[in-house]
Amino acid sequence: MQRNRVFLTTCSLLAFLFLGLNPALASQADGILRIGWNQEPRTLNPMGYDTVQAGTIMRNCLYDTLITRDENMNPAPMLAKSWKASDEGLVWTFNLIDGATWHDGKPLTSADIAFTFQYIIDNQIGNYINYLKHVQSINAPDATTLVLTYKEPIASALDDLANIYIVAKHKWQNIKGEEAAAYDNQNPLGSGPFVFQKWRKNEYLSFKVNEGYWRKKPQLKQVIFTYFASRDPMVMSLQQGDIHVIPTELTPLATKVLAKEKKLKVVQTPNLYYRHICINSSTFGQGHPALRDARVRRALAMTVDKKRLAGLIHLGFARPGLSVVMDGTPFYYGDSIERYGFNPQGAKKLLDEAGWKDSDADGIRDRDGQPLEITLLVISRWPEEMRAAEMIRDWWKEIGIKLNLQSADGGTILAELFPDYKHDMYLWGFSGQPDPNFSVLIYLSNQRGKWNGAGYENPAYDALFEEQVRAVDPDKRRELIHKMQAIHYQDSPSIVLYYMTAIGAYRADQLAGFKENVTGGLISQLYPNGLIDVHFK
Amino acid sequence: MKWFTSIFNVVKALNIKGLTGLILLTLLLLIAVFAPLLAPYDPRAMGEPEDILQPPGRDHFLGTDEVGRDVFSLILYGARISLLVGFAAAFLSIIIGTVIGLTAGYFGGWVDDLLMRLTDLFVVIPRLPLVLITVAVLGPSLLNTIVVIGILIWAGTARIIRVQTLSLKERQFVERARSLGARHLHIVRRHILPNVLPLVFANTVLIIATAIYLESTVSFLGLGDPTHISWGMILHYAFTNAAMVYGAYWYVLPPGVMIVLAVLSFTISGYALDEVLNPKLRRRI
Amino acid sequence: MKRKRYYIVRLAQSLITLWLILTLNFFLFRLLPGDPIRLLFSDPRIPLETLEGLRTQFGLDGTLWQQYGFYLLNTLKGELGTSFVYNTPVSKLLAERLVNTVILLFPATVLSILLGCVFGIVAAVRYGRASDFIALSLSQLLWATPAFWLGLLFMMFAGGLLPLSGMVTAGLSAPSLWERALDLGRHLLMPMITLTLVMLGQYAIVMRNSLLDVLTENYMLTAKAKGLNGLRRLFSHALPNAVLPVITLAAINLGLLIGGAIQTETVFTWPGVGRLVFEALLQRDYPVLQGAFLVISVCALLANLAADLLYSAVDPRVRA
Repeated sequence: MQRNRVFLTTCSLLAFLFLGLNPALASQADGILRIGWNQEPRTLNPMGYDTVQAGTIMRNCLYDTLITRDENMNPAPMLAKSWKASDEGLVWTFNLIDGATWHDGKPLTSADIAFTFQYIIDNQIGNYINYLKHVQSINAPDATTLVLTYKEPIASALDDLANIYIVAKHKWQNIKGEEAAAYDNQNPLGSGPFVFQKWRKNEYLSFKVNEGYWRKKPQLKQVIFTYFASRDPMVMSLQQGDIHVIPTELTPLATKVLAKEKKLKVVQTPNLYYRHICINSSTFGQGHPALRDARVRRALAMTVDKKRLAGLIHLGFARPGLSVVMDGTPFYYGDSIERYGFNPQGAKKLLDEAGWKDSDADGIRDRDGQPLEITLLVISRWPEEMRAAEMIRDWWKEIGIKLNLQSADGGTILAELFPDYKHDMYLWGFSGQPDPNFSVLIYLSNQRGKWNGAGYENPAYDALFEEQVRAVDPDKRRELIHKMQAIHYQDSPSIVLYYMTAIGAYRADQLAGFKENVTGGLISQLYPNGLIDVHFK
Repeated sequence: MKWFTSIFNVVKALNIKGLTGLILLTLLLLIAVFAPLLAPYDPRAMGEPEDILQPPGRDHFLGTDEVGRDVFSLILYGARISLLVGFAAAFLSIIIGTVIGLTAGYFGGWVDDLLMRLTDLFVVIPRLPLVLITVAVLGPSLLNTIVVIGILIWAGTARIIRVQTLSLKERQFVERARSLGARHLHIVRRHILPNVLPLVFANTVLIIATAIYLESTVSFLGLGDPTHISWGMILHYAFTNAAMVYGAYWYVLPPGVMIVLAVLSFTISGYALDEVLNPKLRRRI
Repeated sequence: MKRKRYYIVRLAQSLITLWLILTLNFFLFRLLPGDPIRLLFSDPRIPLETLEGLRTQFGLDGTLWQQYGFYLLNTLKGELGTSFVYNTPVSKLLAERLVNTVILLFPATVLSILLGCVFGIVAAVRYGRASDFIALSLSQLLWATPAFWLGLLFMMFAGGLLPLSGMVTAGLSAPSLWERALDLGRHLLMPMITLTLVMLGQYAIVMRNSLLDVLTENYMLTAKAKGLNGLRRLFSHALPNAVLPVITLAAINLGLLIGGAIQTETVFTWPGVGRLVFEALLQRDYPVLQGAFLVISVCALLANLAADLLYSAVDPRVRA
């Protein structure tokens, strides 16, 4: 009938219009890069951010630092074009570049840098204070010179400075110190290669290029970080061409599929990031008392086949964990420390030694009537780790330990953790830096209630830490860090499961200029030049 | 013996569709009960890296998941949890709903008003958000899921029971019992409950269908008990582990199909039973 | 006179229910484990004094009853607080997200009602025959299908043609109204079809049953005797009576659905109220959780009330 034909034609026309026209195609000509990720920053406040994603934005788009890192994670010039230290290593003089400006056009001078550092020290800004606590005085004799005087020579000084984002004096002098950490920073004022444009939370975050960037103006006109609530649609969007790059959150399985696609290039680099089981080793908390004994903890660590986990759960893309300093920083990595490996028999002996035997033959060890039954909180964000936890549960069952698994989100875990240390153990992750300071710091006794989720206390470990902070000789420092790693490995306040790999993929047929061999991935919080050379072919 | 003949009569009275539903339902129950015997693999046994996400083949009837587990075994065992939660939650909600409905209908007055306001509350409150929040509060465990779903779906039952109780209350035999001095509990137990139960029974089957549906949704969103396998959980893992990108239809299709079959079979059986047991209500399937 | 009294009674009952909602709303979220201040400002290095100051800032100090009192007062004023995470007023946030959810739900509901009615009418008119069986079974099948699964299937098999996430393509450079509409449409298509399919089963079944009841009534026989042909009988006599339960159902569903689109919104990353609730849950964003919950509950309450009143307006037999 006539009516049916009209109907059908209309339908096909509509379908053609709908499915044919793809607005995303326009982005190629416009220089708009679309990046996909699974997690957004919580805030863009440089004084109060706490997520890796926020760090990524600060590093690659919004802010500059006094010193930055090169592709090998060594100190490299940024706002400081050169520097030298006095003979004792106490006075550092930085020569700054000329002509840098803020996104609002005002000049960036040593006054801003001095202000930033002083602000941090005066207000004890939690994010940065550890990097500046040994600084005695800050001077800016002229617009392009900055002088830092330290109380004593600090080994990690340069890398520490690479972590501090410089903020504008004319903005932050109006923000009270007590409010700094919670400040919302809705209109970030930075000096970096990209200017903040718009943030629709949990939808997208967009930046446009900084036309007057002092270093090198990027070739991209706009950068848009698109949020995906789950992984699959993100990967499929990459395949479809709705986004151009997934910098670091690709899963090992997805790489198998994407490897077949000619348009895409899959890139993997070691990440300074590991997943671990943190055990409540505190003497004052409410965890299972058996866990206070280092022998028990070591026995548990001995009964985790990290190689198998890395091979199965992460398809070999993760590397079996060892110590708290990661294999991505090979100079300090304690590869040589003595390993006990996967040794369930040895574990059984240790448990017997520690007094936990199975007196009632129910398959679970006990002592004084208390069974060795513990609960592991597995962070719900990574469902694959629940699989790992199930395998660990089976291994530990073999040596007489009953492990209960519980999935919990970050909030619940933190609630168990601080301040009362109510948990037995939890599985989570840790992001480190090229300098090993932070990685070993989190097991210091003075970090209990702060970073020390294990509640670990070891005076020898603490003493070694203080020594290595001041060990300016790299070899001497390495020796000390190795000793610390060995202590941690034997005492096992946490079991480092695996070091993760950053897996990313991008449209190699359309784009060029990505840095493919830098630790941390295509766009990371460690390295500032992830986006600066990217351009459409 | 009387029970057996009544059941037999009911089954005989069902039409073809109802019968199909009932057969399907029975099959699912058998699968759940005999899963350990039927499953070719231990569903928790993870394989080697080569076994990951294998399509259906000789070794694995429905292929494998992202850690090498046999999908077919997962589906069979999944029936246990999905049906268990469905039954338990439905059971809980029926008890709550019946008690509240009876009390409200029988006593009337302000008791009725109060209870009906409570019922309204639970009708009006958005189900899924409430389930999610409560599970987050109580923690993801099987028991909590059952309790939460049970607490949320009693409202419908309560309303139906109440209406029936209201009409029964006015009947003659109740009047007589009361004039003879019978106590409330006695009246309810001997006169009202038996007349309300057939209504409950047919309603039960539909409630079970709803409970199974809700459980699968809760598990899919990641708030189920991760140490147990249910069909919704399997889909959760499929979704969060790039199964779609992989094109692993063998991982994504079967759990959903099972959910559909379960809900469908309970629904059809429920309607069919309703028609047989309550011919006055003139509902047709 | 009686009817007016009925209205007043229903209204009063709804107010009591509303109060219950508010109370439940408040206490439920306080039970969530995890201190939201700790979660938001999870940097362990923040000194305790700052945290306490933040606590006051967010109104989380004082006893539980004090907070409850403030909460009731503020809500009645229309003040729903400020989101911890987004740092925008909850009312503004909810309004935005609600609009997004409605953009998804409205076409889906309309379509599912229309299609459901068509199925239901066909099934009823051809009662007992093949088309009845097919239409009914299809409806029941769709009703049993989980929305999230259907969404997943669509994604898997319809990939490549349509965008898989979000409501709009970010950062389109100076798009015209037509381009923006088209972009929205392309994002809307899959989630909307998913929702439509999942919802139409219910309407079809209700329509069918209701129409079957009506078709056997006496006045239908009278109409036939009067010589009116089939279609006329259907449209002018049968349907107006049969459609009432459908309308009631639609009213109730519309109220419920605002909270129930969570599944579809999660699978398609649609920025609606459902997903807002889910994510606020993970971040312990109390104000948003409370606000969203309240709005959804009130919507459902209003829808229920409207359905009841509508029904009673038309059917004088219904009272309690």
